[in-house]
Amino acid sequence: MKTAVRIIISLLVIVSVAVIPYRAYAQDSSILDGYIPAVPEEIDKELSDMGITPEKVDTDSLTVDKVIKNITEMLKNSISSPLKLLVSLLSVIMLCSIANVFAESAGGNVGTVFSVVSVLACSTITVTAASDALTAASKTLESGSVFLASFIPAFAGMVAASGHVSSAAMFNSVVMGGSQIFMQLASKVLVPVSMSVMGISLAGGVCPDLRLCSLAEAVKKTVIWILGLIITVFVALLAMQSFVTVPADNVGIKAARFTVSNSVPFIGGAVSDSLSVMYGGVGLIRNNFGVFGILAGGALILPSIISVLCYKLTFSLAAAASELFGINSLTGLLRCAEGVSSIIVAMLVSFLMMAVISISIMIFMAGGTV
Amino acid sequence: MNIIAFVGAGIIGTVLSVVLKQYKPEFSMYITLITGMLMLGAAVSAVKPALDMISSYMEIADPDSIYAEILIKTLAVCYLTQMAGESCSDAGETSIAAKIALAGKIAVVIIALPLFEKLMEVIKQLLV
Repeated sequence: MKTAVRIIISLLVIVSVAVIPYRAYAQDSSILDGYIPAVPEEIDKELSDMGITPEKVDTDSLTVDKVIKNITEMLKNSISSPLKLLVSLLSVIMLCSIANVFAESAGGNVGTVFSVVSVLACSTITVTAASDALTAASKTLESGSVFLASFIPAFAGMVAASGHVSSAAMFNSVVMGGSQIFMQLASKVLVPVSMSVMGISLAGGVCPDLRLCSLAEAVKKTVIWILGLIITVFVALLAMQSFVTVPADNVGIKAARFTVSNSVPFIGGAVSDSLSVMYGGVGLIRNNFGVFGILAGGALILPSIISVLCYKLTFSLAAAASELFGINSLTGLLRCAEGVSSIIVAMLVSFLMMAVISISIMIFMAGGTV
Repeated sequence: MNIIAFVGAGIIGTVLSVVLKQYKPEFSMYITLITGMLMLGAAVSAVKPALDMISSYMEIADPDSIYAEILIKTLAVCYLTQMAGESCSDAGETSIAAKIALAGKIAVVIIALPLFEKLMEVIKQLLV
């Protein structure tokens, strides 16, 4: 009788456990309780409203429709100033073309005198806009660097907690180093170089005979090459170190499980399995946190990229209009401003790529082992 | 802009000037001057709507902008100087024409001074 009761109770327990649906949620973890993302308040609020927090990433907010909608919103917010700039530049170009028409018929130096004044006006408008964009981009890079400085150690801690200790140490040192090198390079080299290119383009606009625009173009190409090289080296270094450290960590995890399984009597197998479950749970939190990092980085840097791209498009359109009306002095200046916009976009995109690629590599490398 | 009236006024002014040059050369110069002024006035009045439109666009883009005013004033000074200088040259007074051109350039520099000031501020920002 007793045996029958025991069997019935055991069956009831088994059936109830099997029937009740269960899922692991990272939000219940207390690992991330003390973590506050170092992002501006409005971005933090926007992400929270979308259900994206360090503890949990709501996958419903990552549909293509919603992402496109968010990018369109960013575009709407960013396009106002570039549009105003385009109107100002087109107005100056039209005035120049009117002056040129009269100058051609008069045959005097009306066109030349007016051309100098219009180039000065256009230079001031263009350089002010480009300088503002550069300053904003520089501040964005600084914010991005501060965010990475707070995020990377926390993420490395997660990676270490999921059993990948050497990968975490490598990730922390490489990405923090890369981020710092990038920040220093951006503030000490790239921003001054971009400012110099603007200065060169200004001089080239006022005195088109100097043909300084080709120099500005060469600087732009060099900077983009340097950024490309840095990102390539960084990604290669991170990937190669991951290839070495991740298998070592996997061996460590498997050795730990084997030791527990064989050294603990009777329940060794169960403890070993619970270790796997624990690693799986931490892995879930780690992946959520990593995706949060990528999304927060994107939310921080993407508006700036879109804004600078709008400026680039504005300069490109104005240069095309200037070329159409045959105002060569303005065309050179506007092409140079477009080049500076390209440098700024390259800087921002490189920084974002560095963050996204490094976090993704760690998620992928550490993700498939538990 | 009535182009036929414009062309007609130009041809009539030229014929009158050429005819009068044979009998009264001093009146021929007056005819040339008056015809030139009328034609420039007509051309400028034809361009005025375009200039107003450009000016309004610039104000929409930046209401505090000084560029539209400076550029349009500069354009006006350039044309006036050009017309006056050429008239003097036609009358054989090249020395006076040169002085008018000089005065025009000085006027342009004075009008464009706020622009230089703004440019200097931008250059200072670039250097900091």
